[in-house]
Amino acid sequence: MPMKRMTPMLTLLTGSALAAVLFTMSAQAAPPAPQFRAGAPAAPASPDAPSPGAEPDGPAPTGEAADPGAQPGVQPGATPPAPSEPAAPPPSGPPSVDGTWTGRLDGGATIALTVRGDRATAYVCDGRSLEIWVRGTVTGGVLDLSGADGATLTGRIAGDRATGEVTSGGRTWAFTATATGGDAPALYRATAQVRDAGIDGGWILLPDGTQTGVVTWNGRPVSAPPLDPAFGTTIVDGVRITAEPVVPGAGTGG
Amino acid sequence: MAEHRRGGPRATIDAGPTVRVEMLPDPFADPVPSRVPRASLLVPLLVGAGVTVALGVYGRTHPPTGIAVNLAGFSGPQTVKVWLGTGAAFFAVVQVLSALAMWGRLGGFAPSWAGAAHRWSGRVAFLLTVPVAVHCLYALGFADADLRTLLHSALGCFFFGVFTTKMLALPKPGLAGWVLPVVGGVVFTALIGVWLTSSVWYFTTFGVHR
Repeated sequence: MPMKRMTPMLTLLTGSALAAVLFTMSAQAAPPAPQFRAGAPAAPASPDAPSPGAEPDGPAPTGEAADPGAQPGVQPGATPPAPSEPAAPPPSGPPSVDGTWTGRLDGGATIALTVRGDRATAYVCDGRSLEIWVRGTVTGGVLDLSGADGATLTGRIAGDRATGEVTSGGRTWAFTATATGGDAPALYRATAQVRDAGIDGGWILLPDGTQTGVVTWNGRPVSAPPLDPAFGTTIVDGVRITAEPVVPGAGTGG
Repeated sequence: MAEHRRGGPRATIDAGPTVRVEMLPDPFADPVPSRVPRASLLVPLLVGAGVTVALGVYGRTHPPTGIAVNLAGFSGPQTVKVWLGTGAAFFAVVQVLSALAMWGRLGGFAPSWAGAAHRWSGRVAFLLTVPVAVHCLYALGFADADLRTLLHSALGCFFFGVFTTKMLALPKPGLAGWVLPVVGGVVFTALIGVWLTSSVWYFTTFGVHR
């Protein structure tokens, strides 16, 4: 045998030792999982649940995964929320209210509400430390959304105006929002992949070109740096974060 | 391994004159005498399968932390992994080429250092994959969110299993001629599959950057 007997074994042992060292270092670097989960105010339910549905790109479950280039959510300019939507396909019957509304809470925070079929997702953030994700249903223009820690959003959509109330952490704000009109996505959230890596983030891109957002970094909310809407990316502490337009009803996405 | 040649119902297949010659204490000897002719691949295959299953079970049951150690110089754990994996894929290609040279399948190009190049490129490739796998297993776990992540998870576990099989099979004397090329080819295929479903996917999705 050309190969000495020991060397393959040494290779395996070296690899195992390296793995053991890295596991140990990782165990020291990572906070205990449950604590980390609880710390993320916006998405306690998401780290596990979202995997299937968290890609807000509609046609996710089928072949798309096999086609690396076909992650539509990454190119907001393309066509993200518009086309096929297996989860909630038929805008059953009467008036479809698909669209996105942005506006303000009376407390000053910004809200974005996006509706697809009978599903809605809304995001409230103050650009500094407050962020609330809620999702739920739209029935005949009536909004009924809920989120983590008992957060709720109720209200109604009438044409290009949406009004209602947001309740979270024992506080209630009234909101008014107007339709963005256009197809451009206004609400982005960190991709499932990014969220799996321990970072969550939401961005509202207002029609006037300004944007606001909050990134939850290891369970701590911080002001989000601007998102580059062409690529859906931003850099936080040197780490590149990717976000996708939120599509309501795509599983637990958004 | 010397024991493989010892008597038994099927010993006639390999009843060479070397029977019972190797009586040195063999650290890798299979404690249970195998009845399989030639050098047995049973133990390497079993251990490799065990490694594969163990990694998969760990990845599935360990709650993903979302966090693991990072390397300096990269923008984040994702890009570190993407580039380490790409490095491993590069050395995997070197593996194939150097193996071809070793076996004289590159025409006249069969330098004496092909064997050394093969061994060292393999070690480097393997060691490059380890931090990636640790991060995957520790921070993310076995995922089946879509076809890509499922394929990646399954192939990743399989890669380390079949690599273990290869390493355990290598020192065995009297392997059939096809064994190492086939196992090596499977290792290569698995690694490239892992790479395609991670690094290449990342590059085509997010662009090539550090």
